[in-house]
Amino acid sequence: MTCLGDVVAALVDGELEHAAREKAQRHLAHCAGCRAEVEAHRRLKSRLGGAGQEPAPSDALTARLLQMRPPVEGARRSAPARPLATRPVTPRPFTPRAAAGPRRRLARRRAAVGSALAVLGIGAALALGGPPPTRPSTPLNPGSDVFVADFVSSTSDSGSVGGGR
Amino acid sequence: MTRARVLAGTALAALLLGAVPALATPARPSGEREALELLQGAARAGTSMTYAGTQETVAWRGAEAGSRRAQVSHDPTRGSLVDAEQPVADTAALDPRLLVLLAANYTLSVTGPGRCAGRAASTVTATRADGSVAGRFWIDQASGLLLRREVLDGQGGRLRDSAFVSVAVGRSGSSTPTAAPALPSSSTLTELRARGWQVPPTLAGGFRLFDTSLTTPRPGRDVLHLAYSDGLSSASLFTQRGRLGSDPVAGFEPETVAGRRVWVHQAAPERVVWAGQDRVWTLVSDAPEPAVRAAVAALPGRDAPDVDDGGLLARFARGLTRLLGMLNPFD
Repeated sequence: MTCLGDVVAALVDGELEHAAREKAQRHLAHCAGCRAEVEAHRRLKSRLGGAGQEPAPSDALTARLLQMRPPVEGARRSAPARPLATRPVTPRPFTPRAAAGPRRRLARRRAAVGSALAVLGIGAALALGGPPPTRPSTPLNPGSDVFVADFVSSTSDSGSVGGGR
Repeated sequence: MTRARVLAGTALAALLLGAVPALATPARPSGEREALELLQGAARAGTSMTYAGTQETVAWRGAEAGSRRAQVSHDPTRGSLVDAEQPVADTAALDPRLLVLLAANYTLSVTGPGRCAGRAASTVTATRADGSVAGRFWIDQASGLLLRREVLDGQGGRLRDSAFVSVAVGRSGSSTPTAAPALPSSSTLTELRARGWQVPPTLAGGFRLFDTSLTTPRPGRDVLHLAYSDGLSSASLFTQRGRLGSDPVAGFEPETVAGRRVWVHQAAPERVVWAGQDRVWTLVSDAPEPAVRAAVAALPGRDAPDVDDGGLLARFARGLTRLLGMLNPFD
C-alpha cells in the first residue's frame, strides 16, 4: 500500500484540484513507492483507453489492484486534509466497488461508442437512401415496328429480315 | 444488321445443328425420325449452302391476307440478306431450337413428294394431338434446302405460307457442329429476375422460352426481349420500365382481355400492348388470335396498389441496402 492511497487514481485521472495536485507531486518527488503506483495506474489507463478491449492485467498489477484502498466517498473531489507524509494509512478491506471503477468507465465508453456508431449508421443510411426513385417515364414507343423486326429476327437464323434492318 | 451479328448468327446455328439429334431423335418411330432428320438436314442446308431467290410470304388474319415479296440471298460466311419493304424471314432459315420445340409439340411424318419453285421436294407434315394438320414443310430433294413452309389453324385454315417462287442453289460450305442448343440457361434467367425483370418460362398454349436479349436502345431505357415458340408459331414479349400515357397508342385499338385494358394492332404479326406494375409490355406474335389472347391473359401486368415509397422508413431501407451493398466484398 502506498502513502497516497486513493489520491493516486484521482491524480492519474486528473481529478485533483490544483493545490492537492501540487502537494501530491511534491510527495512523489521523494517517494519511489507512490511513483511506481502512479505509473502502474497510468499504464492501466493507457491500455484501457487505447485497445478498446479489456486488457489482461499482469499478475503483479492484479495483486496491487486488489490491495488498493477502496475509494472514499468524495475523496477524488477534494484534497487530503492532513499532511501526506505524517498521516499513516490504514488498509481497508477490498470491496468489488473499488475494482469496478475502471470497468464502469469502460462500459460507459462502450455505450457511448455504440450509440455514436448507431447514430452514424442511421444517418448514413438516411443520407444514402436519397430521394425516392422517380416514377418511370413513358417508355419507348411500345408499338414500334422495331419490335416486329426483332420478332421476325428471333424466329430465323437468316441474319437479316429485310424491312430496312 | 451488322456483319458481326450475321456471322455470329451463322456460327451459332452451325453449332446448334449438331446437338439437335441428341435431344430429339431417341425413342421416335422410324417415320417420325425420318421426318425430323429431313428437317434437321434442311436446317443445316440453310446455313451451309449458297442460294438466292425470290420468296413470297402470305399471312392471314381472319378474312384478310397480307403478302410480302422479298429477294433473298445467302452465303455460309455472311448469312442471309433479305431485301423487302417489311420485315420478313428467310424461308430457308430454320432455327434448330425451334425444331426441338416442333418435335416436342407435334407429331412429324413424311407425307410424300411435292414440288415447289419448279423443284422436286419431300413433304413433312406436323400434326396436332387431335390429328389436325398444324404445318407442312417442302424440302428440296436435290439440295436438302427448305423451299416452303405452311402453318394452319385447328380448323384447317391457313395462317401463313412462305415459299420460294424461284431459287438458285449453289455450292455447299462446311458446317461443323460442336455445341449444344443455346436455350436460355437457368443462370441467365436467375440474373434477369434478380434485376427485377419478370421472365415467364412458358406462355399459354405450349409456347416455351427459347431466347432472351436485353438491349439498351437509349440510355436508361432497357428493353427485355423474351422469345417463345411452339415450333410453328412464335411470340416475342418485350418489357420496358415505364407507364403508358393517357393517349391511345397510335395505330392500335383498345380492347379488354381478361379484364385488362390492352391496345391491339391487328396485323400479321399481331401486336398487343398493355401496362401495369410500372412496366409496359408488347407482345408480338404470329400465332392464331385466340392463342395470342390466351397468352396475354396469363401474362403479368395488373397494376398493384401504389405504395408510399417516400417515407422515412423506406428511405432508411434504401440507404441500408446501398450501404450493405458497398460493404459487401462479394458484390
